[in-house]
Amino acid sequence: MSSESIIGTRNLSKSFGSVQAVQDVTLDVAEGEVHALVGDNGAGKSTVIKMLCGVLEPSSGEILLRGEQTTFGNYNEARQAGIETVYQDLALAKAQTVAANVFLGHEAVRDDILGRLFGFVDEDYMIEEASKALDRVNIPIDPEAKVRNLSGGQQQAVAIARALQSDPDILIMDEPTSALSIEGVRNVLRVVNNLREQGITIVLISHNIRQVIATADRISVLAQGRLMGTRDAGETDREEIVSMMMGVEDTEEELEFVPGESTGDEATAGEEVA
Amino acid sequence: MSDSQETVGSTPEAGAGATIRSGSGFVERVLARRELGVLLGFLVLFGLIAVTRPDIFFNWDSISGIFSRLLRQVSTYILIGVGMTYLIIGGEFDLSVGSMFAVGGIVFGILLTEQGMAVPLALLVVLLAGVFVGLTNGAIVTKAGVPSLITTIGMLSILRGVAFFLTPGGSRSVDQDLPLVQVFGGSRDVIGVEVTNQVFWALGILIVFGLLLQKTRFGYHVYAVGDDVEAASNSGINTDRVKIINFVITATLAALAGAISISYFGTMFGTAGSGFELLVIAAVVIGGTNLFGGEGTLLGTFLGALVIGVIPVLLVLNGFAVEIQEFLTGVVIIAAVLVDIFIRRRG
Repeated sequence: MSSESIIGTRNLSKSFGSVQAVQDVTLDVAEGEVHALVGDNGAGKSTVIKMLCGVLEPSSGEILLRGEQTTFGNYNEARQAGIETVYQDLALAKAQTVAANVFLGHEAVRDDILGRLFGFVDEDYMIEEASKALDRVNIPIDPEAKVRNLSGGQQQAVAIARALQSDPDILIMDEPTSALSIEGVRNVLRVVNNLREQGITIVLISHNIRQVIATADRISVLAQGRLMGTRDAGETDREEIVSMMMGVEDTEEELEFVPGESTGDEATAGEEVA
Repeated sequence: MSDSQETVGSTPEAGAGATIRSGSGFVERVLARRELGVLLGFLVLFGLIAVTRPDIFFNWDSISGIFSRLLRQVSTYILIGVGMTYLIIGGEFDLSVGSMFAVGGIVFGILLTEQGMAVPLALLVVLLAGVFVGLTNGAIVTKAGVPSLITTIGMLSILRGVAFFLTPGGSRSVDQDLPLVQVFGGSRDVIGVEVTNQVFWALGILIVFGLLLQKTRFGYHVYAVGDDVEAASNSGINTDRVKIINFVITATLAALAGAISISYFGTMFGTAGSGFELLVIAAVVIGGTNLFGGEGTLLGTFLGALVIGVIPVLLVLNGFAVEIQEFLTGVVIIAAVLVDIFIRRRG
């Protein structure tokens, strides 16, 4: 794994009116790593990734792509630069098939007169390619199944498979395990590991600390719009991350826990940090 | 880590039980299709004619005449229903189709009879009128954000006003002896049943638009837009464009249906097509198109139109009054939507 920064920020800030959502965030994501961005609700995670994927324009500061200052005018410019995002709501057309969703908006057209003149799609190719993309995330799903008949984890896999269609270097995943069953969470975390093995850099947004420590290479903690620090996952623990998440001021808000996942090494349910 | 690629996709325990295969064979899949239920519904209704009026059903002259009229009426619903299916799958609908039908036929009559225009040119003008109305509906709905209910009720009234304005004597006529008018209004014998050319037009358009809907990028986008407009938009689909094109297809085919209708009857009244909007929407929904968008087929609309067409035939043959037909049509529409919602909730 290279330790070179593939994407980073320098003093990145974003304000909405008088609200300072992100303030002076400087961080580097190394090529090929799984870099988690954690923080409580309202810590600024979503705002940071929206700037990284071109949805929001920074108020000040810089975004560096492979060391060079970059500005993305919109989401598509970020995509063309090799940055794909899987949003929390997945943006799937649920009454359509898996294959149709993997190719949503860029359906493969037949290489014949029907394709060129009338836009007839190459269904066999799309099914085959969707199948390959799902193999890549290592979750076997019938490409002809309707998305609404899939479990939450499988739907997440379809959204990831779609993001992989453009062969991105960087995949940003926004809360991929929220609202999933235990099985779904395991599947998605396994997908993350598979993608890391394939050399894709992953920025993982989460507020589930234990999942993040188990999955990520490095963890950056945001609190109230500021970066509290970055830690190697192997050299930190839950307590340190939690205290960083508490940030500048003490709060008594409930923090996330792994839903019912019992590995036997510690109590999980109902954990609160006060 | 260079060997990591080989391991991908090879772990058998991956997503235990994750594979979604319905596990059903071809026969089960066919039986599970909504269209089959609609076909059965039509056959039952048609069969009721045999039970209630065997004297007519088993008399070839009578039943072939009934079948001929049924096909013609149904083909009007299909012509308009093709566009309506696109629109509803795409998440919108159009209540102005009945008025557009009247304006299309009446303008066709005026251009041929009063202006002495050549048939192809007159048809082109009629189609362009449909395109204009569709563009207007589509632009108001997508660009100004006015719901299609409001927009197309307004257009319904405007176009009905135009239809009345253009028929000061109550109706307009065409010379049915014109050979090119025969192309739309004529008929031919198919194994003893008189089939009007309108039926062939409707079937041709049904097949062409069915292929476009099921097999092309645009068709995929129609489904996606009606399914989740935000997901479609986020994926780079121009959702406004898709909706506007659907409005254009609908209004244009309604105008074409009007031109074909006046070619067959020779005359069209200012009131022509009143209430078609509800009958056509009923046909589309009975055919399995989700009233809330994202799902549906033109095969379903075809079968739904057969159901909507056969109900009045059954009622008339059994001596029910026109008022009862109206009443029952309303009941059928609401029942169809309720059944549809019930089926979808049960998944």
